[in-house]
Amino acid sequence: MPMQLSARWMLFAALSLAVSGCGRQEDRLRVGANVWPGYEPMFLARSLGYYDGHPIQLVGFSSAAEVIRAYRNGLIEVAALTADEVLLVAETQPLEHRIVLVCDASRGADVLLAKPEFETVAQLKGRRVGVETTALGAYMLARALERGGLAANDVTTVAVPLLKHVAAYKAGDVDAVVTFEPNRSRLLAEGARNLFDSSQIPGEIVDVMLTRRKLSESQNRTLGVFVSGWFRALDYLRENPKDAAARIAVRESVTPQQFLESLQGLDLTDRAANQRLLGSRPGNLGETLGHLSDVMLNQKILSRAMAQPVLDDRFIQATAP
Amino acid sequence: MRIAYTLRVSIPLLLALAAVLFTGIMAVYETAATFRAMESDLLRQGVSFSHILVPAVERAMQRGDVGDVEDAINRLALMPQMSLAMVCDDQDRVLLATDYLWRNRPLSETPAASRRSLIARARDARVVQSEISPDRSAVCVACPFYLDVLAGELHPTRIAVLYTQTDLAAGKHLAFDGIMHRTAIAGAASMFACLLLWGYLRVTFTRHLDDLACAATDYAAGRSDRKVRFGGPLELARIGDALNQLFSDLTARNSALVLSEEKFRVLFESSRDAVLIADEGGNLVDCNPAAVAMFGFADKQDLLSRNVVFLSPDYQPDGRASRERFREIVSAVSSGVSRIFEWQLIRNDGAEFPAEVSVSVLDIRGRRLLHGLVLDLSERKRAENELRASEAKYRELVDMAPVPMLLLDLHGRSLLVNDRFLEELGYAIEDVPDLDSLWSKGFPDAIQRLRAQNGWHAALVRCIQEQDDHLVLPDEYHLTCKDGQVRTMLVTGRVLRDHYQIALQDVTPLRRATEMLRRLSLAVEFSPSMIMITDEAGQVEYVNPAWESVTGYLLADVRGQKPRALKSGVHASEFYGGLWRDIGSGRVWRGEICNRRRNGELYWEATAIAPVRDSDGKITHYVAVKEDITERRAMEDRARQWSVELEHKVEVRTAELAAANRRIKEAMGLMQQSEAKFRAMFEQSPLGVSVTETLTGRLIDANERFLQIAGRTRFDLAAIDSKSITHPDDQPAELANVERLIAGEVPGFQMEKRYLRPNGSVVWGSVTVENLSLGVGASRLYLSLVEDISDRKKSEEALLVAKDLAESANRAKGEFLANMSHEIRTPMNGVIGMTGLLLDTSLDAEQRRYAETIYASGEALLALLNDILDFSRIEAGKLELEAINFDLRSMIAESAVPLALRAREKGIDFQCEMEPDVPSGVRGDPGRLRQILVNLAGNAVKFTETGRITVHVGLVEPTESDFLVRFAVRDTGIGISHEQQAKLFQKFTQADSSTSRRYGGTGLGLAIAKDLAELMNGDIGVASQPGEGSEFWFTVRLSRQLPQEVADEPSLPASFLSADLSAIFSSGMRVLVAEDNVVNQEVALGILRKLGLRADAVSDGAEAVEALRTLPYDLVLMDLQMPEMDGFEATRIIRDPRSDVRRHDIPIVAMTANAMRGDREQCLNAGMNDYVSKPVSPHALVEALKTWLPK
Repeated sequence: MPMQLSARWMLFAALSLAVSGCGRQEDRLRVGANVWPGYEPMFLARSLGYYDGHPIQLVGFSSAAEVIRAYRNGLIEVAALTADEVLLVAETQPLEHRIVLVCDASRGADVLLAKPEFETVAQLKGRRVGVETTALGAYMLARALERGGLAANDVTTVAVPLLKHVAAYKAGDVDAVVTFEPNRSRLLAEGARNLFDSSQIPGEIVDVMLTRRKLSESQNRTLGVFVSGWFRALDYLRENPKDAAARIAVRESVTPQQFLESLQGLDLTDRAANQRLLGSRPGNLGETLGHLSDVMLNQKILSRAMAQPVLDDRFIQATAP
Repeated sequence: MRIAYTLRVSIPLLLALAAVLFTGIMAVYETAATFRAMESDLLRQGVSFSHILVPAVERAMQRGDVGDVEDAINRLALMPQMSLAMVCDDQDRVLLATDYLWRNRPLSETPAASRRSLIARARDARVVQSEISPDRSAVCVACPFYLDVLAGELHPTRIAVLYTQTDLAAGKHLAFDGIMHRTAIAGAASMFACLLLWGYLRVTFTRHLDDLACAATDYAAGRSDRKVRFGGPLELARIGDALNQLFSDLTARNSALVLSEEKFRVLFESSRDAVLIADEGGNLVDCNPAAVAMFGFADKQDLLSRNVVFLSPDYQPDGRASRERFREIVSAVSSGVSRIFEWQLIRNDGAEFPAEVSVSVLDIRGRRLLHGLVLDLSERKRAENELRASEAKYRELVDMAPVPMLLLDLHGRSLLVNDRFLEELGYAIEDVPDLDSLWSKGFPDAIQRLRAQNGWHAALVRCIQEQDDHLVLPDEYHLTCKDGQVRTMLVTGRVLRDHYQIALQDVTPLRRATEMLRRLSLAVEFSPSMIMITDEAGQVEYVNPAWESVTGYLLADVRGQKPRALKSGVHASEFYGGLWRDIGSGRVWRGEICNRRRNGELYWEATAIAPVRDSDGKITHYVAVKEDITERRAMEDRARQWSVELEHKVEVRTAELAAANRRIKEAMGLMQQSEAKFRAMFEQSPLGVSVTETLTGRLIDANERFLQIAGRTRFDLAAIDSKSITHPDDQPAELANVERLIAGEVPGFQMEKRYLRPNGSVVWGSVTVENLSLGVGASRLYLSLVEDISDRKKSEEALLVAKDLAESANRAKGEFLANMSHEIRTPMNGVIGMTGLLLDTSLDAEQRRYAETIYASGEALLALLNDILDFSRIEAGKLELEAINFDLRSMIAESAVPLALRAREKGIDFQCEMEPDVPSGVRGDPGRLRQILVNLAGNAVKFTETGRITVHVGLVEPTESDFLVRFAVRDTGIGISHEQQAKLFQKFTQADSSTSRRYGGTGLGLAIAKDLAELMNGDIGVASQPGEGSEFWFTVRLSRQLPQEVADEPSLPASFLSADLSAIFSSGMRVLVAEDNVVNQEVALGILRKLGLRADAVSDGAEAVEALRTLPYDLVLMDLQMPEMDGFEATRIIRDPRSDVRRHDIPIVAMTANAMRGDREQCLNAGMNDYVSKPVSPHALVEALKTWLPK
């Protein structure tokens, strides 16, 4: 039964949070993320032992919504989120967060997939579109509908959790689904048609690591270790893609080959790009966030405009080779 | 009011009270803690429960599976204490609740109405919120979640809340009951324990205390036979024992009291001190016989009839009435304190006497009586007065004693030091409060101190053992005075009744005189001169060993006698009379006397006799100092004799020669006439004689002596000529002489030549040649007179060899010095260069200071080496002065620049004054001249701290051929005393050895300057007053330039280094100066550094190559003529690609004193880049640097 499965999973997550109290409360750095290839470098770093001996705990969640909930409730210190989700978090606590790392920019990995008989977005008018009730989902759908010349109430939005995207599609519960890797790969394998993807809105779907502005000294130090391990893992991924894919694919429930293909849909942001995006010069992440904020206000995903989260490039600078 | 209480009740009562109080406080505290723990437990439980539950709830609600959520909520209701769980939608309407009653009702109607703000907060922040209700009866948790997406919405906007409320009240109630239960049990238990304690105390403690109380009461009531019964705990038993002991002691003491009273009565009656007992009114009650006697009464009753007041005069010595003071005393003692005071009393016969009275109050059976003890003080007072007077006298005596004296008490504490002690040793009594401080101050040296202490203790021990009060310390002590002066002291002392009296006698002058006397007598003893001392009558008191050995008489032989035995009889009695007259009138007599030794020999002595006077001026002794001059007189005689003989011989020989000449001349004249006669004379001549044909050199004739000299026989005569018998080396000289003879330029000649004998040996001959052709025109024959001078030549040659040896030894010394300097200089250049590089790097302040010290020390060491090298050159006479044209005025100006810079750094004013008549164009050695000037001026800068330095140059005397120029350097420095001035120009001497430590330097500079000035036909000197500065001056003689010549360099204005020059070159460039003359080095370095360049100097080519190998330079200034390796050779090595210098293409600019045109080409050919002539002018140097330094 789906509900029981979900509940059991949540119970497990909560228990693991409780068990992780073995380290000192204030030392511990808990990083939460949902399943997304762009977040994999940190799991790769853990798998390669880069975080051994440091109180870094990586926590998987079933959806970005749960990541936000856990982050808001203080169950995790660092949240891997898309830029629009960051704005959503900031809506209620505008000045308390900072972005310390840009993980990736989606370039086709976020998609609107539909049954093969639909060829354009416009044809979806009056149809059921499955979407995770997340900011990202809402944002992707909003942008897709905009492209297809449709308004929000031209389609029936069906809230489908991320884990159910493939199942809902196969069961015919929905005609189209807003999703991303690794579901994208699986659905394409099922014959779904790509009507819209993030490569059409480059630089808008950005994944970042968000953390609170006030962390303890030792947590800040651990955060430095986390960021430098991230880039080491990126280097490893570039140099040993096979082995890295083999290590990651298991978590992602795809074959290593599929994983590598899924990486095609996004740009893993390297150090230099991070320095640019988190720096203080024009062309940084702030502009993207501003743009995003406008779209989200327009779509009533955000109820009010607010101060953007702080861009903190100290950790990037510290890891500069 | 006292409350009677018993221990056996009060202790358990107090304990019970404490137990109740403690139990109560514990109960309250535990309740609070338990409640707090419960609240936080439930709060945490509620929050984490919500975290777990809410995602599932959200998912289900979004899917519309309200049934699933309802199940979950209902199951929640089954949880204990869960009083309420419900889900409210965004409008605060209850969607689901544990109690159906609340469904679809607004929140305000539910029991959670009061928690609306909590729910709103959770919804707004989208964060789980929790709190405890104000009455602390429930824990409330609100957990927000999104409801499903509405049509037209992309993102859910409606936020529902899952609200749970857990009841605390029931749990708290239960917990409180439990705590009360436990508290009641604890209270009951502590009451029971108190009851037990009461019983125990009754049995073991209080009962026995009652017994003890009864026993004490019985004894007091007279039942003294009562014994306390033992019982109870150990402590009480011990008290019982003590009580028994007390009872028996009291009984015994009562019987002793009666006995004691009797004893005291006897004591009272027989006491020698007067005892008076009076009532408070002063009426006497009782007295003892001693009192009757003291006051001079016949009968005790007479005394008792008096009042105490009448035993005293009306007034006491302090002027107060006796009556009044008596009242005071009575009131003072009435408080029970006894008083002792002095009191004037009066006897029955009216005589007053002082007494010591001790008054106390007796309380005898309720009656207060005064008890007075009177001690007659008249005797004691008199003794005290006497003692005080005697002690004052004694102190005065000590104080006025002419020797330093110190009084110590028996513990070694100083009682008195007299004036003399303070004067001589400087220690006041505060300085030496005790013997130990005298030890430590007077004998700072531990060994001396120990010796002195041992002497002191030994003397004390001796005093004690021998019952002698004289302390005699055996040794003299070297006592250190307060001012640090050490005095030799004899120490004597006396052990008096209660102190030591120590007297010091300063024997320092005595010891000094003794020491001097000892030294003088030693000098006399070992003097090589004869010394005799006689009394005023001329009787011998002392003669020294030298006298004994010359005369042969011993001191014992002549003591007490007049030295008549010595009289030789050579001198007339008037001679001695004159002698005695002279010395008798107090004059010193000097003269030579001939005396006779014991063995009868005569000898001459040079004598000085001086009278010795005593303090009254009376002559007491004569001292004669004599020198045996017999040998000298003999030698003088001999020398005189020889010279007479020599003169005589010369006369004879001259006469002989003249005669021989005459004879020969005559013989020549008579030759045709008397061949035989000539032959005879010819053959008789002591000189070798030959006749030679002038043109051919063939020997016509020769005498035996000639043949002997030439090593030939008469048979050889025909076969030899003058050439064949002459050593080949001497042939050309002879030939030249003969040719002049032939030409008729000279009538004859004289020469020294070697004759070569057939056996190869050589004989030196002095040859006199006379032309035999008497007429004018060519010479046909000549006569040679030959004297064998081989012996003389041999000694001459030996002399030459010796000279050569000496010279080569000196050369070897010079070379050794030069090599040593070279070997030391090479690594030193490395040290200085590398330190220079180090200083270019970024250093912290301390490292920079260290590196700068290394740099300065290295430079000082190099300067020293250069000084030593100069000095050795001068010593060896190797220093050759140049004679080149130069501009004197600009040279002086240039030399002054680096000095002025140094002076300015020290804040001293520096001026250079040149008289207008000082010439520009002169000829001499500018480098060496500059060296003298820089040395003197440099010293002035070094030794002057404030004020000014003036260099004054003036022309003393211009002559046809030269100028005498005078340089003077005046400073306001430390000055030099007259004694030091004399030593100044000596080698290795500084004016004051203490300054060398402070200012550094080799002490060679002035000696070198002096030598250089003298080499330039000048002089050097100094005038100075200590503290007022000095004037050093020197003169040099410089040649005039030949009229057609011009100065090698145009003269430059003195301010040649304008500020803009220093900006031309980028700093950090490094220039190497290869130059052997130190002053030229310094000038070049000064200019380069002024230009902002780094510059190092080396002294020859090899060092230059070495420096280029180790350090990165940008340019080399290369002197051409240098010792060891000249500039050409060094350039060749630098340019050679196989050498290991860093840059083979480094620009090399030659510096040379050669003012010749061809030098430039020679330099360029040798691989150098450019050329500047010496003395180097800044202008030319700047031009060359501009061209060749990389921009």
